[in-house]
Amino acid sequence: MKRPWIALLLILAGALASLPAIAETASVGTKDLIEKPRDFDGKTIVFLGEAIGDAMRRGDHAWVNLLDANAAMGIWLPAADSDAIKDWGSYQAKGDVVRIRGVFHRACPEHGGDMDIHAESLEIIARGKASAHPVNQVRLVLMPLSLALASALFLAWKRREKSGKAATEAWNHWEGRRERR
Amino acid sequence: MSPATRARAMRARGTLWGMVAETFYVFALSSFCVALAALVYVLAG
Amino acid sequence: MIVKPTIDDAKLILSYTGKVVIGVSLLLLVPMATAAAAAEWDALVYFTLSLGLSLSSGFLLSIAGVTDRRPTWMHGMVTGAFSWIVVMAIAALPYWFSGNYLSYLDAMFDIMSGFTTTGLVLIQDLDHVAVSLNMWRHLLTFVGGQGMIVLALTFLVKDSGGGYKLYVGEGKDERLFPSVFHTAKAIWKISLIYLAVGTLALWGAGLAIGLPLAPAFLHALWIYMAAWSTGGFAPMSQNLLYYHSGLYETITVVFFILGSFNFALHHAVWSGDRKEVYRNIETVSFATTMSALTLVTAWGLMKLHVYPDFMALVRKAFYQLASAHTTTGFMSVYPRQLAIEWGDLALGAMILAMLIGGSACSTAGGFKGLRMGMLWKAIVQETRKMLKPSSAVFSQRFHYHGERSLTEAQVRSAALIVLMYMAIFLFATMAGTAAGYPFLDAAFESASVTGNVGFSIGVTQAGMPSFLKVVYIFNMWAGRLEFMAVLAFFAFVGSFFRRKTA
Repeated sequence: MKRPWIALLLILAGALASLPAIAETASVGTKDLIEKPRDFDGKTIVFLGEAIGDAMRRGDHAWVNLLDANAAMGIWLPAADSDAIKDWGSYQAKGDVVRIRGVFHRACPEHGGDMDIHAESLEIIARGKASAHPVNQVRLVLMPLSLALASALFLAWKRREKSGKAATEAWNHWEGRRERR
Repeated sequence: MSPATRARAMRARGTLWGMVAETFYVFALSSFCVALAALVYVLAG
Repeated sequence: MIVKPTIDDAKLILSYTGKVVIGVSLLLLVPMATAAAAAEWDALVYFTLSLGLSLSSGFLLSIAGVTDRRPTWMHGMVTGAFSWIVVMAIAALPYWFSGNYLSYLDAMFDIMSGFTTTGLVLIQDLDHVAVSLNMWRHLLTFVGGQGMIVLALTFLVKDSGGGYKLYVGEGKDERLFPSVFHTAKAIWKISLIYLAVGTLALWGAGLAIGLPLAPAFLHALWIYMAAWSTGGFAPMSQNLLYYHSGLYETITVVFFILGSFNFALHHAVWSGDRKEVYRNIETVSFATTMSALTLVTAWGLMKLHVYPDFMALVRKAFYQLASAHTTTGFMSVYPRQLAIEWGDLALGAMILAMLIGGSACSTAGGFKGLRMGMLWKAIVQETRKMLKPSSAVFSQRFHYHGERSLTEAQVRSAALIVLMYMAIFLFATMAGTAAGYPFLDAAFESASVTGNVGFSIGVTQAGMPSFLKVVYIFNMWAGRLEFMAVLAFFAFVGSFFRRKTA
């Protein structure tokens, strides 16, 4: 008879523990943050995004910009936390996907009114990886051809310019005759 | 110093002081605007 | 009455356009070198391919245009308008090859936006763009600020008689020197000296705010180019918000205000006439409207309690307003924040600032301070006339490189140009509302394209209707060239189709 009771307790405890956890792990996107900033102002939220550019260290804290599907958001966090991010999004690579928990500011009084999140914790969800940009073979073939064409046209232009004067005179002469008719 | 060098030095000095004058003007104007914003902040805040 | 143009007129225009295309094509060597240095081989291939194709088009145009006709005003004007269209189509090649655009129209939109120093973008995934592509974007906006024809005049067009006519066709009319070749050189000298100073200053600031050595340099170079040309491009999608730095913002303010000054003013001040900087009608006009609109913007934001403290108010209100008034378009807020939080009063002030713009013969857009100043003087003169006996004769004076008297012709031309700006502003606003955007959003974006500013309230996105993109391209083009060249272009094309009249 004891077992179901324990099970019930466990379920209850689990539900209690997971309630705030569910609320907090559901991350908020930049779209909602920008469109409804006053709803989230001063609240602790979870934000998920790809680290882009570089970490910018300012004393014992650092700025990190996280990009989601819509826009990038500035994250203010302890410098030590930013060291956990290894790959940064650029042309050469996809950056680490990072999940942070922190306080959202519609217009941060500490940072000149920037919209930002002051992170309290950081978690790396996925490591970044190098992006491949293979050379397009068709373009590689067309490249010397286009340069050859340009050179040929350049020579043709120079030759044309030499004989151009004569040609223009002939043309004007013809135009003049047509005009008179 | 040849006349050409002297003329070049004079032009360089003119450029430098010109840039200083322009930057100073920008700072003066910006400060004035910031002061106006401060006025609004005090009056409306 | 326009004399029906002959084939020779068209040939002459083609030949000058060809030279402008060749000049712009050669600029591709810079991103090519960048791609090689950054080991972006795919980018190196498509930039080289673009070089081959665009040089070929330039040479083809030159071949088609071989003539010994001497240029007149009409040729200069039409070439100004036509070459910007042709170059837009050709310079978009690398953008298109990069795969960061959803359509060729989008790529051309970004080119026109760059060349006219507007700064609106339709590029996708800007945060993962090749270094060399960013170099191309910012180089275009930097060159666009001085003018492509100024570029061609410096290196390619030897004939100085026709040069001045081309130069005017691009919306600039100051002669710093009697020779247009020397004028073009002086414009480049001013821009390049400030390029060195500005890049160094921003590089230092970049290091101070924690950017690594090499990225700090690239960001400095690009942000300087976009600030000086009042372009407003930035290498990251967050624009200036990426840096989270008051220091960085302050330095950009200095350079975009300097960039919005008349090249003739820089030249005068550098040649020793330092008083000109605060006596010139344009700086006076700019200082007046800038101060007044700062008051209005700050008031509008305070009324709605948008920003929590004074520092935030200055860094947001003053920065956006200065950026709008100089027609730069650097933003330290998200576009949608303007629509959602700023309120009608502050946005109204921003729209006005964007329409007024910077100085004539600068890298900025808008009505220009010179015209605002002249029209103000004309209003004062009219008022005085009404109050004084009718026999009294007035002459209204203004300071512009010396005291000058205001003439009827100057007022007329200033009023006409302001009127035309207003006309295309209203036209694009209407197009925006027709596409389903709220009136204020449509007006804001329209002011931004018409004044070559680059602020966005969120309308300009790859998903917006194509016809609106075309309207915006037209407004950027007509606004940058200040109408005369555009009108000449349409008159020229129209007269080809018109029947010969006796």
